[in-house]
Amino acid sequence: MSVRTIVNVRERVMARNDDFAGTVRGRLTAARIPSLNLLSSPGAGKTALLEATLQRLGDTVRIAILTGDVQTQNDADRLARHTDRLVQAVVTGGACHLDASQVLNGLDAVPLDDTDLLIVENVGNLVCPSHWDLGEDAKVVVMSTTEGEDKPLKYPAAFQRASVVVLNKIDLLPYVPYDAELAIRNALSVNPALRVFRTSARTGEGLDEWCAYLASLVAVSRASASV
Amino acid sequence: MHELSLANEICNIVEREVQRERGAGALSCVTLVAVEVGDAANVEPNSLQFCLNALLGTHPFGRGRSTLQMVPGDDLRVSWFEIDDESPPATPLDVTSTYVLEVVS
Repeated sequence: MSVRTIVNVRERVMARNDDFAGTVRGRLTAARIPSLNLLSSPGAGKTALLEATLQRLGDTVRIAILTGDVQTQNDADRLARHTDRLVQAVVTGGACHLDASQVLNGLDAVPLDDTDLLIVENVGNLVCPSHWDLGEDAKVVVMSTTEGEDKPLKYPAAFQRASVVVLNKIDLLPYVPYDAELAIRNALSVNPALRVFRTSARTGEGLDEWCAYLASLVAVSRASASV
Repeated sequence: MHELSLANEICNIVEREVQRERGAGALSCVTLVAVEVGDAANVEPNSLQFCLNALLGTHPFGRGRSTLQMVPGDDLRVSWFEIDDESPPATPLDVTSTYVLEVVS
């Protein structure tokens, strides 16, 4: 005779990831390093934005970068040309997002006492990465003028969980049928608290404001360390 | 694949709980795993169930199946699982076999 037993679990599937994320957050907080998690659909210009950011900030902000890609470490190789600092590549081997254990492993290679800011460039995907806490302080969504203005409405979770949105490739606005104001209105309708930047990684437009924002994160972190 | 990663983590949770309740040998006695899927969890239920059933149907489980319950919110949660203590051991997956992938145009 069959004896069936029901075992109650009630455990969140993301609990283990969130434990790793907590460890990442703890290590970064202890080292007074602010951290950002860059999300976008493929091709929005995350890597180009980071290349331009590294060029512009130079040594004034010591940025450690961890890049996630499904295959290849092309993004890490591109970024490494603009900095003497380590750019850590994580090849997910097919997975559509980074998880916190990968960031924790990547963090082992980062000299925390010689770092002002950690930026994680997530896998190009606006669905899955938005649901995985990597231990970052804030998520940044990069969208671009070669996409649809309704990206925030199609992928609301990414925008709801982000603190910042960067509208990239604004140099193309004269040539593409893209309504930047509508796109930003859509983003703010999903998350009114979003901070908005408009950039062109190619021409440099808007990068002063973006880089000033990054520098301010570091300044706030340093100020809290000296209190 | 997003759902396969989640299904794998669900199986890890069940495996850990079964070992705590019954020991590692009891994994083949798991017959049903119940999962709550939030309607805003960005999870495709059919895909998740396909992945879960594939994992639960093979070693070290063998005869498990899944049941999904849609709930409000963005959580994904292992709700409960069923163990049939008297069920005969499942035939383990023959991991030594060679499989040939036939491409049908």
